Amino acid sequence: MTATSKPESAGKRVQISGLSKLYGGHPAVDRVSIDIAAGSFCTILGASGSGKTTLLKMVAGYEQPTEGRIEIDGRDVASMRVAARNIGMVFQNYALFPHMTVAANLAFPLEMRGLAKADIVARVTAMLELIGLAGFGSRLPRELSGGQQQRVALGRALIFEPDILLMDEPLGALDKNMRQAMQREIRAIHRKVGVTVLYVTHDQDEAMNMADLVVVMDKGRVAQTGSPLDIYNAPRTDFVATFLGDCNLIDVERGRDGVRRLALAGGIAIPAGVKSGRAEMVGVRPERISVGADPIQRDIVLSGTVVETHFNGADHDVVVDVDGRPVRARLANGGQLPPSIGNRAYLGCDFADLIPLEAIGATR
Amino acid sequence: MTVLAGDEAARPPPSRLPLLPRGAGLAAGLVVLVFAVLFVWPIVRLIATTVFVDARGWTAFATIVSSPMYRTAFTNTFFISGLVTLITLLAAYPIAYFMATVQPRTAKLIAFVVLLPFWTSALVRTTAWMVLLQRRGIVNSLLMNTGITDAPIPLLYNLSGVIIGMVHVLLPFMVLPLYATFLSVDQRLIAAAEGLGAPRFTVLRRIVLPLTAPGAAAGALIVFMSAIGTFITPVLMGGPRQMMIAQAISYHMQKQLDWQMAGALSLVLLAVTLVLFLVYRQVFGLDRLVAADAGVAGDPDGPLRGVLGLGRLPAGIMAVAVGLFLIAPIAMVYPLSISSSPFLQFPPARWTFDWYAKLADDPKWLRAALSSLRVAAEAIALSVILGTAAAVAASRIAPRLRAGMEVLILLPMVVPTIITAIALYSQYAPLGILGSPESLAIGHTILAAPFVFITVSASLKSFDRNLELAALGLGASWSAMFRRIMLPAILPGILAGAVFAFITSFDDVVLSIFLTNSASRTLPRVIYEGIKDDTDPAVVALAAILITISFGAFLLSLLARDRRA
Ligand SMILES: Nc1ncnc2c1ncn2[C@@H]1O[C@H](COP(=O)(O)OP(=O)(O)OP(=O)(O)O)[C@@H](O)[C@H]1O
Ligand SMILES: [Mg+2]
Repeated sequence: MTATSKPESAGKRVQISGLSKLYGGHPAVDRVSIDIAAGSFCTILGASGSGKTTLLKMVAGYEQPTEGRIEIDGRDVASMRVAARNIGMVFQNYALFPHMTVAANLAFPLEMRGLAKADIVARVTAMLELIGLAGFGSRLPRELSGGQQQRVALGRALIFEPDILLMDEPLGALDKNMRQAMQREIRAIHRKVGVTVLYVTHDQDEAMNMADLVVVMDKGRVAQTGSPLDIYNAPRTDFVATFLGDCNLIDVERGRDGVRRLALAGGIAIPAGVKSGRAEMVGVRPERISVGADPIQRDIVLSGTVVETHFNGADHDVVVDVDGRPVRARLANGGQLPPSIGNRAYLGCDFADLIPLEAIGATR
Repeated sequence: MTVLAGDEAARPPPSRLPLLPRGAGLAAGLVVLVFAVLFVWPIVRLIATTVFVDARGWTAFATIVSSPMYRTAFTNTFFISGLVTLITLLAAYPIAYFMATVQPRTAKLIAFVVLLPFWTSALVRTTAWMVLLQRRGIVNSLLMNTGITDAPIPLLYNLSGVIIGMVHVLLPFMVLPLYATFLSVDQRLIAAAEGLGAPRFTVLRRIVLPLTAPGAAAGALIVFMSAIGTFITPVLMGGPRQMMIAQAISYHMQKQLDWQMAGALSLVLLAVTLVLFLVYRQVFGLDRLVAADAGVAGDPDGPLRGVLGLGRLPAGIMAVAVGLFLIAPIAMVYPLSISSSPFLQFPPARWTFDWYAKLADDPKWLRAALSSLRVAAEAIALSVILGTAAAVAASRIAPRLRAGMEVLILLPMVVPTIITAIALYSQYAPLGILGSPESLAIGHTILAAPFVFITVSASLKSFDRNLELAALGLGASWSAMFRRIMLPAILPGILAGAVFAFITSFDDVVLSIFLTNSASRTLPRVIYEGIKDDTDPAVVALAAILITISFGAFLLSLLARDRRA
């Protein structure tokens, strides 16, 4: 997931600053600022209606921002027409021209740029090769599977060597296996081509495993920007913590004696040296919590009754009722079984596992 | 209203898409301007320059109210229109119901039968009816031979003639919306009502009837609106006592040269029609109008078959009877056209192709046919361009402006043709272009453009907007995008619109009566002259040929629709 193996023809840097879009007074995109390094892969993650498509359309030039700037390699593109921005876009429903063959679809942007016939043929052949559809050139889009159509859309957006590639939930219509295969393929093509990618998704796994940079959006605003590792390990708000992955949220209370306590099990005092102790709320990822039938040696140890268990394949989810509050722990599937429902269980984690959070309202 | 719409459309709407609104606004403004100049202005001018020229203008309205002649014309108009509406409603309900309860294939066949008259020229159908209903015509011979009556019953040149003719013309406008409503009835409601223990007749009365009432109301409004402006049918099939407003207008203009009275009557007729149209728009929305005409014979995918078994037999018998009523006069034209009897009696003494030969001998037919084709070709080209531009522009401007534009463009379909005809006449006469085929072509363009607008709008609705964005993003200019991406997608709509335009132009007689002269007159006008006073048997031979052509156009449109689907 590093951007070290950059190819020679890197894409361009995209700087978005203070970008807003109002629809009838209501902001669909609200003062968004993102800086995307040349050639990097940026995923934009957010719930439905959070303004992802609107943001992408403004970058592409299909929508006029109400406010703010978009710069590509330092150049303000406000007055630039869609085509002049040299941006490739993959639409959610692919938007393949239904009456044209795959080859004609791929050739379209080249014809519009007035390339010579022979050149076009050569480039189309090369692109068919790259997207793994050699020999499919004479088919119509409707004669292809969903994944194949997706590849054509990708190829068409890349064939004119754009500086930036925009993708709006490109894999939304595919089944899980296909999605994962396509994710790998898109990553591979990105490494080969080196274009700067803005990739919209509402699938958190997809957002994390494809990106160099993840942008989490909430109600038109940027909730947090960072590398996947940062965002997952150090979410700043309860919203981000719960939107990406699962997280136990625990309020922090300040007693009259000045000691801060976790609002759990009658109040667990947080030692003065712990950084996260100053936050109003902390989060703990379930996989950081160990669970067992016997007491465990950790900074924080809790006990309660198992109320739920789920087996996910790679791990077990265990929900333990601790003084009336459900706490979720995750046990890797390593042969050991979690205590079964109704039995007593011990939970444990360290102060270092606590993530300080700002409480703005969790998603679930 | 137009001035307002033009004003607003000319100003680009607040920024939506950076690439288009300016162009779309410009195109919309242009289309609005063309409609305003070619259609709205002549009508406004007609009324302004005939009615309100002097103080007597207002007395014209007093005369309308006080004079028995006009009172009768108005009473006739509303009485006949009401009666026609009622009859079409009663005839359409069983047919629509039956269509909804049979297999899709059968429903399609019935839709075909209902639509066939819609496609054949009203004039040709009127001709056929006149031949069938005359004193010694088939109907009377049938009645006498079976002993139902001793002497021929007068069926023509009286109320029955007018009613039969108008019902035949207007029935499709009732069946189609009604059938569409039947199909949209949620079958689960019926199943639920049955589950709750309602007997089938109760289901029909308490569930189906109320649910289909809006469709019936929509159809009734359309039929009534068209009926009050009818001109040709009462003139040809009615007697002096059936004079309706449209006829009164033409009488004043052509015979009395009393333009003031003609203008005042037009204004009243126009006002009533526009009020009905706006009521329709308010209550049902123009979408339904669009669907009823463009989606003709909509695809019956959810028939009430099985759920609604009740009364299918009586409904079926009614449907067959109505179907025969619709088809018979059209079908009878063929045997009649080879009958030896100059009075078109049936069965004739022998069969002959003399009438066809007469058609070939007299050059006036060929000349009229060529004139018709020339006008139709021009009208098709112009209305396709205008209607397509209007549809594309309308789909790209702000919804508020679009609503106004839709009203304006659909207006020529609604305004009684007689008013359009005399408005254009009074506009062209002083310009000295009256009688040229081009002036008629412009009139037909206005009549046909709404149909193109409707069919192209329908195909644009299923055109994926992202294809356009994608093409522009891939470097296409708007015109390249239109040519390579949008045009192929909306081509079926354009073709269907072109077929409608052909039919509109090729069948029109009203505009032709007013806008052509003896050199440029079209086929329908020659037919009209050939049957007005006495029926020329050659006309029947011609009718057979025209029906065959309409039939071909109809099949063509069905093919175009299948391709669109
Ligand atoms: N053309 C428009 N006119 C008015 N409101 C709009 C328009 N386009 C989007 N919106 C509104 O802006 C907000 C953001 O929409 P957007 O399509 O950007 O969301 P999204 O994050 O892409 O959602 P999804 O995941 O469902 O695609 C929504 O509330 C939407 O209703
Ligand atoms: Mg979206």
